[in-house]
Amino acid sequence: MSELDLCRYRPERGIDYYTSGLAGILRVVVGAGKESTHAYVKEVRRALETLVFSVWDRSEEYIPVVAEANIPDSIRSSRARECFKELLIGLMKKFKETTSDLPIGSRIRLMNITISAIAEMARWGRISPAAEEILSSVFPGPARSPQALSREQSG
Amino acid sequence: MEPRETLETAYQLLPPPLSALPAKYWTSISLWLHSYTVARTFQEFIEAYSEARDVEVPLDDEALLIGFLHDLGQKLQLRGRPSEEKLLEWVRDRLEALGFTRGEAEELSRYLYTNPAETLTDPLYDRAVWRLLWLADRLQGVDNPLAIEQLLAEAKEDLGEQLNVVLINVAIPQPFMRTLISRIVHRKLEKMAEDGALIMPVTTPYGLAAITDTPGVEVEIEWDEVRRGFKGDGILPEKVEENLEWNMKCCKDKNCKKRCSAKNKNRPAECKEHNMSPDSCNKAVYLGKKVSTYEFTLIYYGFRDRIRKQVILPKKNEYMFQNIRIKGVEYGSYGKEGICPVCGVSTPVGVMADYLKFFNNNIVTEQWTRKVFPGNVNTQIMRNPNRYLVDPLCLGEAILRGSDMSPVLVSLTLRAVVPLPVLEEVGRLTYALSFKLGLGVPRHSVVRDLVYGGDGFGDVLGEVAEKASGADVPNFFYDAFTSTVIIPYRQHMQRHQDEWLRDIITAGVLAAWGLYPLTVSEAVPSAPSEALLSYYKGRRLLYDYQPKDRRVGGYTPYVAMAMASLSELSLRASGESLPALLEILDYPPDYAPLLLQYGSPLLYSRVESLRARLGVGG
Repeated sequence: MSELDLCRYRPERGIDYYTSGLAGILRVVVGAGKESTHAYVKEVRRALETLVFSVWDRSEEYIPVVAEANIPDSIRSSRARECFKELLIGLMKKFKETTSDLPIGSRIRLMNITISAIAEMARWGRISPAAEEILSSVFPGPARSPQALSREQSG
Repeated sequence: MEPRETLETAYQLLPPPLSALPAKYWTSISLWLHSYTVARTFQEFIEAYSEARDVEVPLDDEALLIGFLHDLGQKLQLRGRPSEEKLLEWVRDRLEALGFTRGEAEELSRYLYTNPAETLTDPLYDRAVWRLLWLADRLQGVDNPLAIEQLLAEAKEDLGEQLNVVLINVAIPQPFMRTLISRIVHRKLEKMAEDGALIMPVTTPYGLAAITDTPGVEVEIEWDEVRRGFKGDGILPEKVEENLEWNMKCCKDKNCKKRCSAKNKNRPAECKEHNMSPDSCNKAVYLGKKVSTYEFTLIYYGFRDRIRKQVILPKKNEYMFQNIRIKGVEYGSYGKEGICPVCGVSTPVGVMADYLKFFNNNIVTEQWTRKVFPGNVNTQIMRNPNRYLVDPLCLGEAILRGSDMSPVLVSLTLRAVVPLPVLEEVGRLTYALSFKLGLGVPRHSVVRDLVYGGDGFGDVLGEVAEKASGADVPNFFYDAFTSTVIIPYRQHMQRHQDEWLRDIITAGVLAAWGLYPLTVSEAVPSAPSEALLSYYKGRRLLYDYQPKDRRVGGYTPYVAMAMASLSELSLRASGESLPALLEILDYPPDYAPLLLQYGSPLLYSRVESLRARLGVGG
């Protein structure tokens, strides 16, 4: 499986797969332990808010555009940028799929929970095995290997 | 194998929160509890079967493991998947850590692939052995005691004998009295088995069924055993019994009655000390006569210096016992009868309802009286022994509920058939876990330790298993006649918010250990529930999702962990209102992984790591 396959939307993957992946990348590029959660999720927040408030009824068309426009500048590697975009597309598609039956108020609350979940995972460095797999394919090398991350986490 | 080791082995093989995965689609029972029950049933069957026969059977620990692993592979849907090797490796590692050699571990892990409970063939042992495993497994699938008879008929040929089912039932509506009788009956059945009878009691929600080779089993208990209570030192606490005796004597002494009257401005301290109320001196009816409520209580429940008078129960109670005979009791009616305001049975003997306050300060009589007929019904009921009498069993219930009891209970109601010893073990385990969580809002560090997070889990598991299998009788109850476990587990707390948090975090941890469906309430549920958690606060069920649901049942470990994650979320979002904290429970179960990420990233990463290690969902 190529690294982009790991990042791409697949309907059988749960929404937590994409949130974990995004948190993993953000944790590497922003660094762990920042005080402000805003530092981690400003782009993800903007993307989800755009989806929910502006393009909900035409999401098929706009999701790729919104994702493209909300890749953090701090991600330099083109591979990581592409993966981040794919994960963001996956997150938005899954979010649309799973919350389309919810009342708008619940949907907005869930959007905020989703954003906070990404921020908390990235801030505290709690990365799932699936996210580790994504990271090791996107950021090859000892410094950002899953083992190195695991060591940081356990510390 | 010691009970402690049995529990440790089972949780080492399927640790929380994966223990919470559902096992069945017809009832909410966890994979852990299903596997554990089959394992223990198989063990017990093997022991009973091999005693009278010269056949080669698995050893104790081998039987446990074969039973536990019998359909783990199938339930975790591993067959033919690339992740299969991971589960095999996990099981072998665990078995090695438990002291098996590599060769033994490999031999045993074979049962992940093959399920002799289905095929009835395996070269290692005789077909009769596998028939017993089949029986242990199939018992879990029946939903009424009569269907067990059918299974036994099918097993007859392989086992070489016809086993029967005898129903042993108590249908009294007092849940704590049922648990007391349950324990007495359980000990009697154990004694019968020790004396050589082949008898295996299994609980169903519809009653207790004994699998036996002797038809016509009847359990005989004595009323004196009821008087002894749970711990053998009396159903009435010693101090209460002393007070009752003092009050009874005082009722017979005019001067004492006068001195203790509420009208007496110089009422001596001893009256208050003994909780004496002269009003209660003639508010009980026994053999058609008015007697003091204190004397009445001692006739029925006095243990130390009891009054030797005949114990009489309402006639209707007689039909509530099936194959259980209580010695020392007469059932009868004597002239005019009153109605019990608690259970509704008509009774010739009893006490006025107001007297129950003697045992439970939470009961309050409404003093306000309506101007028009029928006046205040509540006062009528509480203070009118001519029409309303609390029957002796409801009085016993009030004594049990009022003494040494927390007002809030957590109950586990099972619909699957479970051997009686296993119900007791599950009760002890539930108690040990709630004990480990402490008295206040559970600390996050404790919650975190109770979920598998690597090798350190073994220490916590050992501690819980030790407590659960300890010799002391802990504060737990099990009702063999409805398959219910009851843990009195908390007092009312100062902050409303803390009560919610404590209840939900506790329920989350219990569910993560595979102990559900749960009810947290002030009363024992009268019917088994299928919901993961039924909660008494609020107008609707708090979390009414059923783990047996085929579509979303697989999310149960996440749901349980999301509930438990409130221990972290409440610290992180300490300024948030209760509704803001509880909103993580407002969404359907398939959102639970995301909600857990929000509630506790640490717990989420642990669930995911465990799943990846076992190859579940990968």
